[in-house]
Amino acid sequence: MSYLNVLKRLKAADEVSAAEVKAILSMDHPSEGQVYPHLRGYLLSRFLLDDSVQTDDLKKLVSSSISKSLEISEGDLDVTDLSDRCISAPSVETKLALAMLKFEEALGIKVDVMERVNCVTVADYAGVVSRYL
Amino acid sequence: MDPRVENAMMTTGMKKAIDVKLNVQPIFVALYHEHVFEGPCRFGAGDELKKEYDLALDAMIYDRTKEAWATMFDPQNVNVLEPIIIYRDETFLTTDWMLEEMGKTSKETDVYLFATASRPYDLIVEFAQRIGKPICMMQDCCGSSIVIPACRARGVECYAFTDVEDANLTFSVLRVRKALSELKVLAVVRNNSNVSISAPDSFVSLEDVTMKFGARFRFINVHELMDYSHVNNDSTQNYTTPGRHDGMNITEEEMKEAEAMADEFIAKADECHMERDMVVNTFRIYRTIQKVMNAYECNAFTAPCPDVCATRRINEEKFTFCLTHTLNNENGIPSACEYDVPALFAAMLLQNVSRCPSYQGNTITAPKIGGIRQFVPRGALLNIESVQKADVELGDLENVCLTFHAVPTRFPKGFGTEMEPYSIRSFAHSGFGATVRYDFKRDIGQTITMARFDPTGTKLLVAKGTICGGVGYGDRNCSEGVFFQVENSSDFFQKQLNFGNHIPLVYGDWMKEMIRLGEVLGLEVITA
Repeated sequence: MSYLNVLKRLKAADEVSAAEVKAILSMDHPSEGQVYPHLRGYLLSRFLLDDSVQTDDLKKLVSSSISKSLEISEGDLDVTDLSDRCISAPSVETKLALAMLKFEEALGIKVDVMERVNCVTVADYAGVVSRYL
Repeated sequence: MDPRVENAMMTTGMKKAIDVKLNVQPIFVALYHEHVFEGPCRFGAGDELKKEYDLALDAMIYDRTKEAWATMFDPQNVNVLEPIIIYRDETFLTTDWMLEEMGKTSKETDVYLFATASRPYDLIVEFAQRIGKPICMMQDCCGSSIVIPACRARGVECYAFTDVEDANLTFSVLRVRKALSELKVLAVVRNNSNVSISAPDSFVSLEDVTMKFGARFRFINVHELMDYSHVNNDSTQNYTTPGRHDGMNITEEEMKEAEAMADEFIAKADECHMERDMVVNTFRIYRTIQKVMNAYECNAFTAPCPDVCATRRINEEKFTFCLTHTLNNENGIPSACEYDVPALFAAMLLQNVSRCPSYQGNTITAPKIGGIRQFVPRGALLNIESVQKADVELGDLENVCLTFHAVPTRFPKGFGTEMEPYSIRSFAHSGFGATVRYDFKRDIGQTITMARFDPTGTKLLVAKGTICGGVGYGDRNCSEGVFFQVENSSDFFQKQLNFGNHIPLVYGDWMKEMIRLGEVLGLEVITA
C-alpha cells in the first residue's frame, strides 16, 4: 500500500471513529446495548479492521490488527510480541490501552483502571463505559 | 479457671509434614510517571507519556501477572496469598508505608515473589533486607539479574527462575525445608537422649540440628511409653507415673480400635504367619504411640530398639516397633528404626520430595568376590537359604548393594496409591512383633533414590540405584531386604563411610530435587 493510500485510510478511520463517538454522545445516558455497536465500530476503525472480524475479545481485536499490519499470523505475533518497553508491556497491551484512553478522552470520561482492566470483551467495556455516561 | 491455665494444656494434635504448604506472597511493584516527559529511561510519544497511560498499562500487566500467579504453581506445594500491588512514581521514594504494606502478611509468608512494571529494584532490595525472608522473581529483562545479586551481596536468600518448572522445583524444595523446620520428633529414650547404643552414627548433637534446621524433639522415657501401652481407663494406675490423672494409657475403646486395625491388617494380607493376638499386641503399641504423638503434637517418631531390647521389656510386652515405623511412614509420618535421626530426617526429605513412603535399612555393598556375595549376613539375621537363593538370582551382577530391615511399605509407589501385596511375619522367632514382608523382586528394574545426613548435619548423601532383587519375604527378623545396583559400589561405600549405616530410600528418580533441596538447606551434597 502506498504512503498516500495509508494516509487516506487513516483519515477515513479517524472520520469513522469520530462519528461513532458523536453517535454515543448524542444519546442521553445510553445503555450498554446502545453503546456497544458504536464502541465496536470505533475500535474496528482505530484498529483498521473491517466487519469481517468476528471476535469480541478486546486483545484479540488488537492482535488481528497488529498481525494484519505486519502481515504475520496471530500465532507468530504471540511468539514475537515481547515487551519493548521498560514496563514489560507487549504491543497488544500498549495499543489497547492507548485506544481505550483515546476513546474515553473523546467521550470526556475517566474509567477506573481496575474496572477497565477487568473488561475482556467489547461488550464488557461497553457496559463499563455506559455507566460513566 | 484462668483461660491461660486452660490453654496451657491445649494441643493442636499432629500436623503432618506432607500437608505443609509454602506460603508465597506475590508483590507487584508498578511505576507511573506523574509528569509528561521523554528521556533516556522513558520512551514513547504523545499519550504514551501520560500518567493515565502508565496506570492503564500497570493495571493490565498486574492483571495478567496475577492470573498467572494463581495457576502456575503446584497447589500441592504452594499456597499463593492474595497479591499486593505497590505504586511508585518517578521520584522513586521508598516510604515506610510502602514497606509496611509489602510486609503486611509477613507472619504467614514464607517467600516473597516479585514482579515489576519498570524499575523498582532499590525498593525490593531494601524490603528484602528488612523482612528477613527469601525473595524470588521470574527471570525478566533485567530486574532479576539486578535485584538478585544485590540481595545476595547483602546476605538475603533469593532466587530467580528461568521458567515455571524451575520455580516449581524451587518452591517444592523450599516447602520441604519449611516442613523440616516444623518437624517435631517423638524420641523414645532409655539412657541417652542424643544417640542410641546401636546408632552412634546419628547426629552428634540434636541441639545443633534444632538450631540448624528448626526441627524439634520431644523425649519420652521408654518405660513410661511401655506402661502407657497397658490398657487402663484409669491413668492414675500407671506404674511409671503413679497417681497422675493425665497419663496416656490406652483405654479399652482405643484397644478395640487397635484390634480392628489388626484385623484389617490381617484381612488385607496375602498371607499371615502369626497368631492374631500377637498382631493385636503389635497394634497395641502402635495405637499407644499415636496417642502420645498426638498429645505431644509430634509428626515424626524414632525409638532405640536395641537399647529397649536390652531391658527385656520388648520380650515381655511381645511387640516390636517395626510395624509402627511401616504404618507411620505409610501415613506420611517419618519414622526411623534405632533412634537413627539422620536417617529419620533423610526419610522425611525423601518422603516429602517424592510423596512416597520411604524404606530404611542397614545398607551394605555386596560385591561378588571369589564366587560369593560378600558382606551379606548369613545366619540369624538373614536366613542362609534365602541368601543362597538370592545369590543365584543375582548371578554375576556387579555394583550390587543391599538394604535390609523389616520396615517395608505397602505403598512404595506413593501415598494414596493402590496397596501392593504383602504378607505378615513375626520379627521374633518366638512369634511376636508383626512385620510387613514385601517382595522387592516384584519391582526389579525400578529406580530408587536414597539419602542420608552425615553425623555433623552438614552433608547430605544423595544416591540413585536400580532394584535388582529381594530377600526375606518368607523369613522373620530384620531379614527383609532389597538388592539394588548403583553405578559404582566401591565409590558408594567410600561415600557411605562419611554418613552412616541406614540409608532410607524411595521409589523414583528424585536426584535433581534432592540435590536442590540439599543446597537450599545449606548442606554439602555428595552424590553417588
